[in-house]
Amino acid sequence: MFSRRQRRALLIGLLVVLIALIWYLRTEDRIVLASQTGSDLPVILLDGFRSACDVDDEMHRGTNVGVGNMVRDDNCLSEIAVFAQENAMNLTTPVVTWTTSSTDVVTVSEAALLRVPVKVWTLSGIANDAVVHVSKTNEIYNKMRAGLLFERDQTVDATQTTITVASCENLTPLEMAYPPVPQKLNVYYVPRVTAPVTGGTATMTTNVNGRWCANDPNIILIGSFAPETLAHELGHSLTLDHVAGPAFDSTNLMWPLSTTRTGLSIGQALRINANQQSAINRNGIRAGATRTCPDTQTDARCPALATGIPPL
Amino acid sequence: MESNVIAAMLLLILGTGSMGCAQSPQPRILRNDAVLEAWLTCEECTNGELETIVRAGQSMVSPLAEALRAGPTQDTLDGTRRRLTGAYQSMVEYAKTHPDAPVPMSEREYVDRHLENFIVMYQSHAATGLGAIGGAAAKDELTKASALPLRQPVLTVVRETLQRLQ
Repeated sequence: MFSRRQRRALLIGLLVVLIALIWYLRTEDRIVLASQTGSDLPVILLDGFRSACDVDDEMHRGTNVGVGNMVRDDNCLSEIAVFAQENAMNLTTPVVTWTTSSTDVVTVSEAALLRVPVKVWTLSGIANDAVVHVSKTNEIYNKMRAGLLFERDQTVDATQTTITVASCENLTPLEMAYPPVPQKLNVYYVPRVTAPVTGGTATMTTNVNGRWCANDPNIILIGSFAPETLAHELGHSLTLDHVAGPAFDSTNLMWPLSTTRTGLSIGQALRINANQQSAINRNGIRAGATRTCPDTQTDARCPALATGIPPL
Repeated sequence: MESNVIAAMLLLILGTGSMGCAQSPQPRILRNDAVLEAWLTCEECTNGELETIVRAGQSMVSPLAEALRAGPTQDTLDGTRRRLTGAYQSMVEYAKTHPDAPVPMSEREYVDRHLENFIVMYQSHAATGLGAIGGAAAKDELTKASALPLRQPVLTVVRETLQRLQ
């Protein structure tokens, strides 16, 4: 019925159709990251609708990742959060470009680390204390993909001061002598920082390493510091609370004891950036979508605080 | 036969009882150590660390007094020194590729400054803990410590605590 040549052409045609079919079935929507600084393997958290509105903080790694067939559904939270070393955290929300096609590409443009100015006042110690503490802070926040770069303003040498003790409960003497810069984090290194503590029926004060003043949230006091005290107090100013086991261990930056603390979870990195009350949003340093995710809250918008990066 | 069975059961019961007695102090000691460490090394001390010390009561006077007099144990100091050295070296490594994270301090200076702070905080918290527990024994320990050649910031806390107890 068919000549040999016709049979061969038909066979090739069928093969082409088969390959196209396999290719079509294999295609999936993609998230492509553009303008990335550095060579880190980014972490992508994806929310949205695939066959149901149940894609909730699905984690991907890479700069070009397949995500199945994502579909637009305006009743469903659809967003992409990207965390990468050397880059600011990117929160794209809502994502409205998914279609029923399985060949959608959403491009997320990354940007350089978000610069956060910090004013330092040295009433005790040496200026280089703050230099190494800001460096340690930057190392931790960048390695953990929190996307921030703290920039120390010219440190003010105030070591001739007569102020020997400071507490958040009585900031007036300190602020009168060294007025804090508005809309900026102000860090005061003082000889002694105290905090009220309850012991039995009595309330007394105790010396502490450092404090973030919730009542004046751009003020941080550093006293008898550990290497990560500044980074830890900055964490508070960025809305993070203390963490505890079993979800966390003593390596997390927000662990309340003076140990070597170098870790931040992705759940913490998102809150640092997106929480409305975070210093970077309060002070207008970051422009972008915000929300309110207390550490204890877990829902579609707020990934579990302990959300971390699984081993590759 | 019956008496043998009864004897065996009695032995089992006594054995279990004595095992329970032998084991019970250990977790208590471990718990006290953890409570003590949490207070002596807390950064902001907002998590009820002192409250727990006070609840443990007079049993804490002796370990707190020891912490005040002698500071951290040699093991704790060695461990802290190792951690500080690691933190410094990690920063130096990071600075090689990040010029915006300078480390203008020698390893020795970095370790010494932070270790000194750690000791001061440890001993200051010990003094505050004794003051919070109160009582004759705690006061006696603070009085004795006030005459020791302790670091000045620690002595300041000791004297303030004693004044409060007067």
